Amino acid sequence: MPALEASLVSFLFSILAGTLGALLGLGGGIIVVPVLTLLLGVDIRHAIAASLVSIIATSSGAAAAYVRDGLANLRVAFFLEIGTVVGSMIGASLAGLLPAAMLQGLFGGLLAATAVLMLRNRSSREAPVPPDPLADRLALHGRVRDPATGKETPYRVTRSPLGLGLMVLAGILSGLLGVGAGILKVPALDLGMRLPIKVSSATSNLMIGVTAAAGAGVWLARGDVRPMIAAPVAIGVLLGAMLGARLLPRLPSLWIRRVFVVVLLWVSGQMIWRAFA
Amino acid sequence: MTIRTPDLDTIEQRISRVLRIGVWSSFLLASAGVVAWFLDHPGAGSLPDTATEEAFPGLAWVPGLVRGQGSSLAMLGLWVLVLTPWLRVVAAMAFFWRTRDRVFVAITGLVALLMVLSWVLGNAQG
Repeated sequence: MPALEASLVSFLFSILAGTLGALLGLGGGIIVVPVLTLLLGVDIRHAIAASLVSIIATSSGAAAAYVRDGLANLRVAFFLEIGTVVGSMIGASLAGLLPAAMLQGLFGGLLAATAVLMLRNRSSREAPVPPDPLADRLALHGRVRDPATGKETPYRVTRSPLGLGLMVLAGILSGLLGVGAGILKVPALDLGMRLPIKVSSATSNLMIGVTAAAGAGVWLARGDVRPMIAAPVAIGVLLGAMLGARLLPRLPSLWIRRVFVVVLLWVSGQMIWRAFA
Repeated sequence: MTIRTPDLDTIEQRISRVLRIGVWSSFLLASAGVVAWFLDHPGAGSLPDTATEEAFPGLAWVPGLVRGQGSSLAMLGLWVLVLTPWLRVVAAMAFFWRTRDRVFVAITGLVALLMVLSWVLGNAQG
């Protein structure tokens, strides 16, 4: 394909990836990698490197607004980033040791189970939040403002040690498969630590950038980040992420949760398919 | 009118500012780089072939900046983007230090240390 047209195609799909990523707390790699490899014929290494750049672009592009508006919980993000970075180092070390198909199958099953839990969990959110002395000690609790009414609703964070453990798991997924793993971070924040779904998405968005930035060194050193592949992706994703960040506060939480579950099922199906294919 | 001093800044305002500066700088640099590349390559060949043949391991793109190469400018934009999350961790650590929040100085310091370790180990393995 002529370079100008190909760059325009990747730019336009990247806007979509950035918008969806910003809304759901994901890196957008599930769109960027197939478009670059299957549609444009880009080498998988260059596509994964561009996807890593797109994770950082989604994260920083959306989080600038989420942090300013108090939608992302900064203290929770910093606390859990310890787990994600440790996990990604473990994952990177394990990458060559474990069979890829087994890992894909395991994580695919885990994601499918998470989707079922997220679908069933709506009624249990009304139950009282269990006390968490560590969350109290670290002052992790927060409040979320409805932009339509201006009303602030406080929320309490719970099970922070479990959240940290789940972030290690999400980090391992990042390190093994070169993805942002927002697909595991959002349910861990939402189901595990009982953050509101929009706060979960915004906080996951903030966190995926740190994991990706920590892992980007090797791709930059090897020269796999090709400017004319990664730059149109980065520009498109940044625009999309800024658009998504404007949309998230205005969309109903139930809608965010439903779309997230659909994407979760899609990704888990893809992983299980690859494991057996 | 409120006179804004650094003390009145919340951590959210500071981090958001760091992210906005990083995001817009990288957006403008990468966009300028892509436009310059297409101006330098009339006809422009095809992607992936022509557009992926330029590889810049490490900081190999720096000399091209002096020559005004579009691809080097785009790489500068991508480096700024990659370094933005690092900057926000350091900015947060500085904020917590100033507000004497020792626990979060330790937490952000540990995150920064782990990021450096991950970068170094990644390069050693790669």
